[in-house]
Amino acid sequence: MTAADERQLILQVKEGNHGAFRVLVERYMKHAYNIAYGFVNDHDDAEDIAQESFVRIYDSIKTFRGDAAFNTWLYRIVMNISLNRLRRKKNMNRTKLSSFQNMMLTADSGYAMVSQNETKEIMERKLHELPTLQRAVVILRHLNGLSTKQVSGILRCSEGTVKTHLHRGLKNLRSKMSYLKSEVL
Amino acid sequence: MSKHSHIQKQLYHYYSFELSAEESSEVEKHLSDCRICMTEAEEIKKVVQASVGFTSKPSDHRSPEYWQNFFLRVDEQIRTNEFKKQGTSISDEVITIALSWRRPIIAIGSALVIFALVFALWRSNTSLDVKKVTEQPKPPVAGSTETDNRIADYFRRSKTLLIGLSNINLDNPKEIDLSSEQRLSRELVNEARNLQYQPMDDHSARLVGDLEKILIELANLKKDSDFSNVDIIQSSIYKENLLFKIRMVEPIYNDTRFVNTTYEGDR
Repeated sequence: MTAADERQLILQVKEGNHGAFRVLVERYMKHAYNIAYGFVNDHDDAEDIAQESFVRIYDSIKTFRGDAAFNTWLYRIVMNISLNRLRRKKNMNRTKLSSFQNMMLTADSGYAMVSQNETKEIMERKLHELPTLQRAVVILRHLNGLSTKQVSGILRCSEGTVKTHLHRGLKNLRSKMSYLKSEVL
Repeated sequence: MSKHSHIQKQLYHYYSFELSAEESSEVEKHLSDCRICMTEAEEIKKVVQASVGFTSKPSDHRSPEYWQNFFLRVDEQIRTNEFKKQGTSISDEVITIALSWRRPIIAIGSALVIFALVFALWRSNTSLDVKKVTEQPKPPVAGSTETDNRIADYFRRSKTLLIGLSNINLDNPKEIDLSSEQRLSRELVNEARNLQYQPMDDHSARLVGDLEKILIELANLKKDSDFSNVDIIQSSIYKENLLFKIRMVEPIYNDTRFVNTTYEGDR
């Protein structure tokens, strides 16, 4: 879908075209879900956040001026709802960890062979220990593959700031996982 | 900005192969001469390369059917919010309908809903034509995880049933087949009667009662004569905000649900 097609679609949604709104939702639903999951690390919460984001989009579509790309607006909403959800939660990591994950998260040192999936899970959990802005940049840029320009639009900061926080965030992530003396890291 | 700072900001893009040949060459030249930046580069490289194998995304956790129905859930939430904003109550609706000449059908429908609910309550107190379930479910143990699982399962199945009912197209009532919905509603009525004696919070208890009325009405529909009342049942679902109420109580049982159950959307 080209940018012009998307603008046309948004115009139709503003006029109350439900079918056009459905096309928009189905185009971006997985992206919204993945970004939300990056923040909250819980599938049920990610589902709620993704749905709520589209509901908010629907409620305020008439105010969307098109200054930024539609997905920039959407992802900003997803991120804000995710961060609000995290603030409300007392304990972010409510899902039970496997005994292996518990061992890896509490060990001071040790040699461990870890699979790709296990590394991914540990990385996702350690991501939550990063400062908010670094975490947001890592999730959007690194885990979800958005461009630096897109991320700067979502976070309303310069591309240089995005690059700085990305660098710091990844470095922090690496240091938090340094106990894994494995072939992966 | 210092040269070091500039190069370090480029490291992620370098290891992600996003830089031009000229930019990559600039990075490599600096790294060959700068031990500090080289150390930084090693750190970034490890994280980037560790992520290379992450082929699956969180959205892959959900089934294709889940994504097919995603919009329906969004749509349901939008409709629920719209009804909530209207702040409808039965008396407000009756007054509005009475004052608005453009809604004569809704006025008649509201009166019929009230009559149908009163009639259904009277019928439930005398007799209910419910087919016997082949397996009688064991009464749940009060305050146990099993009880919570059963309550969560009850609400989940009720929600699925109500969503299905809400989406029924009434253009051709004679072609509507509600046999499976009626069978499910009878099972849920039976289950509600087992659950009503178990301790639960006030909201859940009230919601079980509200749902029972709709389910009894659905269970007692007779083909060829009452399917026009499906419209009334649909209206009741919206007016009572049942789907919204189910979503509000679901988090109470969130930690214990889906431990051993399968969500229909994920099949």
